[in-house]
Amino acid sequence: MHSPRDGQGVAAAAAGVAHPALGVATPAAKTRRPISLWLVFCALSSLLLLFMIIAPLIVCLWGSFTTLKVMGAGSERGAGWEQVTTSRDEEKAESQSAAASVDLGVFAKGARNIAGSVTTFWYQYVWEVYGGTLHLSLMLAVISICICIVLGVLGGYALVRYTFFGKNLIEEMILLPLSLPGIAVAVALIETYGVLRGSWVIILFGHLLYTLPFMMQSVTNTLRSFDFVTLEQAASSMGAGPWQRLRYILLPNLKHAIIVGSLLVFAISLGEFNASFLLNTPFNQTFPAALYDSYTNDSFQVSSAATCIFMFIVIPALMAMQLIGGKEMRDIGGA
Amino acid sequence: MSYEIRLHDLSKIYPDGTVALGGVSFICPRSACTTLVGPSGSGKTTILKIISGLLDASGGTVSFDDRVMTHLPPEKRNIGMVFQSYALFPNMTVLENVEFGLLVRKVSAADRRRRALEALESVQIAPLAQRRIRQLSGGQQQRVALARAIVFQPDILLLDEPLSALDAKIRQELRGELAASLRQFKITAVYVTHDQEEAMALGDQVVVMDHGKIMQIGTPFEVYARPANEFVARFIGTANLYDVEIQRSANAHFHIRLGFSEVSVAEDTFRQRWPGVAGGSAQLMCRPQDVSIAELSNAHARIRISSLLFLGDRIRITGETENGKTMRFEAHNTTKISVGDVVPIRLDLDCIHIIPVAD
Ligand SMILES: Nc1ncnc2c1ncn2[C@@H]1O[C@H](COP(=O)(O)OP(=O)(O)O)[C@@H](O)[C@H]1O
Ligand SMILES: [Mg+2]
Repeated sequence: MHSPRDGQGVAAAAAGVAHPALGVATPAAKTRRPISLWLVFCALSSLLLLFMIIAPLIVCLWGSFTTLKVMGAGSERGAGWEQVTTSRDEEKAESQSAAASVDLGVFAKGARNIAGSVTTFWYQYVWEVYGGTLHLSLMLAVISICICIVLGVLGGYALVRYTFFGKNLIEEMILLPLSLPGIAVAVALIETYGVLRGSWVIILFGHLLYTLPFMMQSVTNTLRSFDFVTLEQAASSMGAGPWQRLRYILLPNLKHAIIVGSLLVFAISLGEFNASFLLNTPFNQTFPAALYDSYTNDSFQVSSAATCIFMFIVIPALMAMQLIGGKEMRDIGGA
Repeated sequence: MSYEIRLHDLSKIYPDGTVALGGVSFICPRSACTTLVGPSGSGKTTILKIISGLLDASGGTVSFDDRVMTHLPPEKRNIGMVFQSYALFPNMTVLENVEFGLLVRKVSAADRRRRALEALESVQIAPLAQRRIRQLSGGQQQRVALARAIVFQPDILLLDEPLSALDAKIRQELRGELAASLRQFKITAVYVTHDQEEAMALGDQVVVMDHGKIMQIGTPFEVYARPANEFVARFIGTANLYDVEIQRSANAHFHIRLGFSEVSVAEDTFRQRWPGVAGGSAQLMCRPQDVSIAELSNAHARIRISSLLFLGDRIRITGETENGKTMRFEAHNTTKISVGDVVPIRLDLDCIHIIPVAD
């Protein structure tokens, strides 16, 4: 199909053929001008995007696969690098069984002697050292998703469907953590649930405070975007009891909201740093908190590899979110 | 099986204190269509929702024949309902929408499909079975909503302004189809509308409502030709209403003084037509088509014409009586008159109606 602009272009071209003497260049230039402005605008924003987001990613990606030799002297951060990794080793040895611990000292010494310029050594290293924290982070994200789905659907339903005393207050309370600094949330949690310090449960609490508002918003937005109260009334007039309404009407119509909400929860929980950093101890360290450690203690290559691992997990999730979000609009027809 | 719906003394006060219904009782006869008509906010939807069980009444009872339904949830009432917004399920195709009532009744898949297709056939949209809801026009959605409501053979069919979301032309078309369908289904139906023409066209019985109260119940002819009060006279169709003084004269006639004219009706006829009216103050109603331009010799009044509206087949004339009252009437489209003319008119005494003054 031709867009209206194509049509104009064709018309202008036809006019050009018909009246070569009548200064055809003018209409042609007129149709071209907005396009070139558009191009300039696109180019500028692409450049900006490149510098702001893509460039650091590329640098990280490059760094994560290069050996120390390529980076040259001085790229190895601080003289304490070997020491730190060794002391981390000891720390691990204390908390875990000696058999399971990895001889990181050997690892670290090995790093200097890798031949060639491309290596996956850093990824192995991150996996060995921070694998546990990644595992914890993924677990927290999955548990957060499950709890958010249950609370978000039930709570969102209640908020949209019923009017009750204190409803507005509840809605505000749910959004409140988003406007609080992570440190405030962390301190409040530690004060309140001090017993849980050192357990992953307290970090889960923190993550729920930050993720639930998003699931809730996703669900209530969808519920409000179609007259879902009437849909339910229609279903019950046709003989559907509460469970059948949940199964055939509510959940199918909320499917995309739940998927999009879950991916948001996943991305936020996995990347949450502020609260997790304050809540974490060596026994419940999350991956972002470990990333911080690696930035301060390890070489550039190690933190690059850690960042890249992070990206490999988060970017597909975000892409899925975008895909599903677009599909939702097409299926329901934008309500 | 179809039932008679009996509503007894229904009242509804919403939590915010709005009195939506103040003691409403009537019976919707078996296998007939009852239309509920009234201005927006008169409580029609509220009644429909109470019949369906979607809303609890504050007082009163709903029964289908002798079965009291008042506290049964909607899914246990075996009703079909067509919503103003249609409320079709966006997550399902047309066919799945129509199958839904059968699905929740645990009808086998093959039966479901057959019966749903039959229902779609009966509203002439079987070819659209696989479409999604958003791919349908308003009129098509209306048909799906109807098919969906009747496919499981409900005892009662409730329709809430099913045509009001459509544009005028399609509304006219579908009104006729809907009337035919309702007759064919032979189901007890309650049809809510704010459009008085629709109410008369579709209803075997018309219930006129205002402010949560019933103003009149009757056949379409009764509410149109013999309105019980001024509200009904003004709401149903167009009416000329005049305050009149009625006096019985010596020669067995009732004299009706309009202020700009006087007409008389034989006593027998008067008593038979308006048994509730004794004499004294009342209101006289005449419809525009009951007034015609006449010879001066047998005219009832002279009207000065203030505006003319050409309607195609006829002209709608608005004029003023000698004492400044407005009169609307009609004339054939070939009538030669213009604004400012004074024309003699005559009332059709067989069609006028006397409304007793409310006390
Ligand atoms: N949920 C509600 N809460 C409060 N008032 C309501 C509610 N629903 C309807 N009403 C009021 O009750 C009256 C009757 O409403 P309704 O039955 O919807 O009228 P209709 O269908 O005749 O237009 C109106 O005054 C309306 O404002
Ligand atoms: Mg209504």
